[in-house]
Amino acid sequence: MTAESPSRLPLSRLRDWLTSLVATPITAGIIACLLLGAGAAFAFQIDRISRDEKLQQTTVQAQVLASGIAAPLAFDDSATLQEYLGALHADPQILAVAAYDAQGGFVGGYAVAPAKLPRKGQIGEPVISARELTVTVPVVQGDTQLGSVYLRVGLDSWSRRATRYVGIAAIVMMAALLIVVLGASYASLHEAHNQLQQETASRMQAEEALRQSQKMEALGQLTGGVAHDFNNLLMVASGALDLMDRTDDPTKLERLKAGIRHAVDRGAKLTQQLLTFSRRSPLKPEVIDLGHRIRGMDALLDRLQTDGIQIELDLPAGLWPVEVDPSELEVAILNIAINARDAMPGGGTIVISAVNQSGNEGADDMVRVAISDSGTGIAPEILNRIFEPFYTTKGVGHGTGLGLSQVYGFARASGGDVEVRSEVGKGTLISLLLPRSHGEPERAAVMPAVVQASARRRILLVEDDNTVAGMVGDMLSAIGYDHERAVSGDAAMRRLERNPDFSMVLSDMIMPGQLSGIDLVRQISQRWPTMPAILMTGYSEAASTARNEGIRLVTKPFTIQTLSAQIDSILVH
Amino acid sequence: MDDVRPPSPARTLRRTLTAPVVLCCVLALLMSQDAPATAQQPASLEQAVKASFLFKFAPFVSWPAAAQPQGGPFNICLRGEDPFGATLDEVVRGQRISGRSVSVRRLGDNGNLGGCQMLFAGRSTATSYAPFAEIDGQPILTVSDQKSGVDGAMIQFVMQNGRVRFQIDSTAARANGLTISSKLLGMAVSVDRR
Ligand SMILES: Nc1ncnc2c1ncn2[C@@H]1O[C@H](COP(=O)(O)OP(=O)(O)O)[C@@H](O)[C@H]1O
Ligand SMILES: [Mg+2]
Repeated sequence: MTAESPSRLPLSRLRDWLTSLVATPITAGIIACLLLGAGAAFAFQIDRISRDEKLQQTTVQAQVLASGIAAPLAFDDSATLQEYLGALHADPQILAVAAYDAQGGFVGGYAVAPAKLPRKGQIGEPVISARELTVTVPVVQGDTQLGSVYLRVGLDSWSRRATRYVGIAAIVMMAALLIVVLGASYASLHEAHNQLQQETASRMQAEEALRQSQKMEALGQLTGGVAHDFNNLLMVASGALDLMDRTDDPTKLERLKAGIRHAVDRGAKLTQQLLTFSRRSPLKPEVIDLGHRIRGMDALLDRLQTDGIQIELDLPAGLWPVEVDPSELEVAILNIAINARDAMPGGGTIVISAVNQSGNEGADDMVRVAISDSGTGIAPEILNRIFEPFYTTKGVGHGTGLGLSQVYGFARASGGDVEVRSEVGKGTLISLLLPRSHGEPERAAVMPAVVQASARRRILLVEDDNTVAGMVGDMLSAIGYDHERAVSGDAAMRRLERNPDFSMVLSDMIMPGQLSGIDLVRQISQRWPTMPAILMTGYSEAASTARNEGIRLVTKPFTIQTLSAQIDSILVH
Repeated sequence: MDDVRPPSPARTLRRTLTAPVVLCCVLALLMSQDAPATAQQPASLEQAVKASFLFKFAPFVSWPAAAQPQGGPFNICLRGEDPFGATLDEVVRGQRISGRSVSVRRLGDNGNLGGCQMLFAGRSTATSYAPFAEIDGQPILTVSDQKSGVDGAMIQFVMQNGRVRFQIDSTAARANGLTISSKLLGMAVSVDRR
């Protein structure tokens, strides 16, 4: 994506250069002129060749005549001679013909006025003038010269010859004209194309920004719910901790611990989904399993389940895979679901269902994702406006009118469509129709088991936060590694310089002091190239920088399973 | 080219000796040489034409290669009376046949035929005059004049409408290994008439 293959580079540059060269009206004009010049040279050449041919032809004609009249000339048979010569009258191009005896005396012949015959016969070089051609050939029998033949033929005049080339000239002129016109239009087209490309680029940027803001917009609709949710989770956790102080009953303690565990898991999952959802990602269609994907949105959809709103999922197994951008799909479903919630101020049930829809009679196979509510419904007169951007019936601060326009844009971009069925007072059903893909959906990795350490190794843990350091340290011990903690990147460097007796380094990303996590990993890979390092990080721009540099990451919050698998893959492989 | 026959000449339309070519020839001859006494007579015009024809037969006839000794001249031999005199010498002067110079040899009534390519037999008063007797298959083109009463030549001058023409016996010529061009045959008033 980033680097074009080097062999294509000079070629495409050459093509660009040629294109820009051709794309000027001046070049087109030059080409046209060259074409005209070539045409003229061609005509001239043809003219010369045809003259040479005419000369040859005339010489042969004279030779044939000479051979024929050899005997009549030798034996004074002037009647036969005249017959031979007279036969040439039939050729209108012949202006004069005559036979002379060995002494050069005139024997017979004729001339068409104004041409005149020479009085004495003489052998000489052919003479070509603009309008006529004269050849003289000897009359030879055996090798005795008996006389000579004089033949003069008319050539086509310049104007007549020119008319012969009028056809060619016309074609050449047309071609030249065509080149000029095409060149000019191509040039303007090229310019327009460049403009269009720039426009497209800037529009694509704008679109990306729009998509991002649409996401944040949808997320914004959830914020109230998120805060509320976290509050509940925290309440569960702190309440359980309070209760734990007051009891020694191991079964009760166990239950409370499980409650806390559950609340924390939900919180982590929610944060993870929010982060993933709001991540700025390029539009990238993937083959996905709709059921799996929509079920994976549970933490987000749960935010809508307030004030008497229920969400039901009806996602049968065996749904065909579809090829769409997953995060756009999530935004679209969220947008439709938010509208459904808004349409049911008194509470109700939102049903998200999906079915395969076989295409018959040439239609394509589709998967239909339908989201229904039992809300206010949409009035028929505004039905054809709801997909317009910024069309909203909700008050200021409540609606933006961008939700359904995103839904529509997503459906069309995926090769699908949106259908709306609504009855005022009864409810609304909005269906996303997505074309079936014949690819294999990428399965999300199954949660791996804890990979126990294969040998006792020492790991340098770099982490400023005591709680986190303690927790991660406990994880490492549980997996079976020894560890030593450093409180910052600078401290870690000092420790390593004293003695780099560690199998690897596990470091936080953002820490006080001179060295950040990334800096630390870079320095380690320079000083001790064989020592591996893993960065622990939440989602941030720095993380993607690190990933691009090939630095290994574990994303916070992580489980002991993930951590053990990462360390194992580095130390063992 | 030799087998291209001219489109059958209309012999009936042949005109008399007014053709300017012959006049030109003769006038040129008259002016360019010391005309012999006989040249003033009308017969000399006829003889001049015959002399010219005699020489011009050669290019239209091909001799077998064996009959053409390298380097030697092309010999036109005369037997019996010489009707041409200096005219013939004049005609052949400076000419070449098959790259060889041309000479005229006057043999008298029965001189040796060795080296002759052509033999013209004029009249003779000798009773035992048989000019072509010892040719006997040798490649020698024989020519005579009907007027002189010598028979048996391959080519014989005849007068037709006051013009000099000739008859050809191509069978005899072929029997002696000579090939006469069809062009020349086309000029003859008759071919192979016996
Ligand atoms: N499920 C629904 N029930 C009733 N009206 C709806 C429903 N979904 C969309 N609408 C109507 O369509 C309009 C446009 O929706 P949307 O584009 O999502 O913008 P917004 O939700 O910000 O108003 C809404 O203002 C509402 O009037
Ligand atoms: Mg909306």
